[in-house]
Amino acid sequence: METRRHRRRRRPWQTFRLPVSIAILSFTGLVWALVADGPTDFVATALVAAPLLAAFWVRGEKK
Amino acid sequence: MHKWTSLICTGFLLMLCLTGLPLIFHDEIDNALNPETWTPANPGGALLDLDALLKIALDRRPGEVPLFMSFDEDRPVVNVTTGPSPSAASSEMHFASYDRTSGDLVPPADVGEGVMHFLLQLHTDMFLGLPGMLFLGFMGFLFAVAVVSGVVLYEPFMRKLDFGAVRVDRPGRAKWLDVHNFLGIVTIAWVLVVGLTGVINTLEKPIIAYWRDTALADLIAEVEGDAVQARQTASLDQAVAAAVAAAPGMDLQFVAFPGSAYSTSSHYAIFLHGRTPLTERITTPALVHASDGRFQGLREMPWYVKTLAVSRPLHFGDYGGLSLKIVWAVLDVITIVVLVTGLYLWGKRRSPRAVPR
Repeated sequence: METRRHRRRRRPWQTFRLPVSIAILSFTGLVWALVADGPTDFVATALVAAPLLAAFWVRGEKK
Repeated sequence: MHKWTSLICTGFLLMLCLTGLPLIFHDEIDNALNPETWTPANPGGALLDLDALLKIALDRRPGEVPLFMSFDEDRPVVNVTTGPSPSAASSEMHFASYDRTSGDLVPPADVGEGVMHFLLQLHTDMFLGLPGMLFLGFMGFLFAVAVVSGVVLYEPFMRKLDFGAVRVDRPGRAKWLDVHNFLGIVTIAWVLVVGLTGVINTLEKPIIAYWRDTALADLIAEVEGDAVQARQTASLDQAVAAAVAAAPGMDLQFVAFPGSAYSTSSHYAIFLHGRTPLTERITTPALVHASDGRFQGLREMPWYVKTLAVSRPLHFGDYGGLSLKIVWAVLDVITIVVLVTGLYLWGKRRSPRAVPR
């Protein structure tokens, strides 16, 4: 893992861009799994797992 | 605000996360501990009518009255709950399952049930009944406040850091602050949904009581006029058939007998549910008069009972198969990590040996 600092301060939308995207994906999966059934359950589960996928992706990028 | 709301609720949240972990896999644990060996006496045979099954159940429990009857979806089994009176407390109730093809008693699949029941009670009300539920609901509310205030704090911490950065080259506190912030922010949607639906679930008893006192009371006034306990002389089987016929596209879920918690004093309340993942959790009661068998209509549940119904799966994660449950469990473990790192950060900050950021 590495440390990376930006010289310039980020604006709030830059800070929250990725967290909000992950939250929207995750929330969509939670609702999708509730209203849909069958093969799309897999897609819904993957969306709920967006935080886990993002964590692996981000940590992988930083290694 | 983040510090104090977190500190007050963290101990309880840790308990909820730890007890919730095995509860996610309640069905799988039950199935593993109780492998299905039971088969009906007459596989594929005709089913006994519900009146005959009710008589068998009551003959086995002399002096008791029927409270609820529910139906297994994947085998020809009815479950009859009886008690000494219609207002019996749950601890006084007796639950037994019967083979619909013969009326024989179905052996209970209760290996490990004691442990799961203990965990569920601890998770739900800490063995304190309604006060315990409401207390945990308040802890859930504090947790939601802590999460939202944590989001507000996240922004200044991350102004100069990349998303997901963990400063491993800095002394302990900075590294764990980054872990706390990162895991907390990526799981925020799930944590808020599970937390807030948990708060709604703690309001189950007041919500059902309110429904009984308002919507159900209105219905009683509309259909019966008086509140005399009715003699159950009408055929239960015909009552259920009438309710099912009146609700095409819906399946039978359970029957509440007159005077029980979910019915009037003079009706069979026959609860039906839809067939989609969402509507199968939302029940609609049909009322049939218990003494003369008059069908008195379907009544949709009000919005607050529907909200409660939808909150249950969204809290327990039992609605999308095993893969969703596994994701649920991993997110639960991550929440435990966030809680523990939060406690560690607070402890470090209080410690005189803490290294300043």
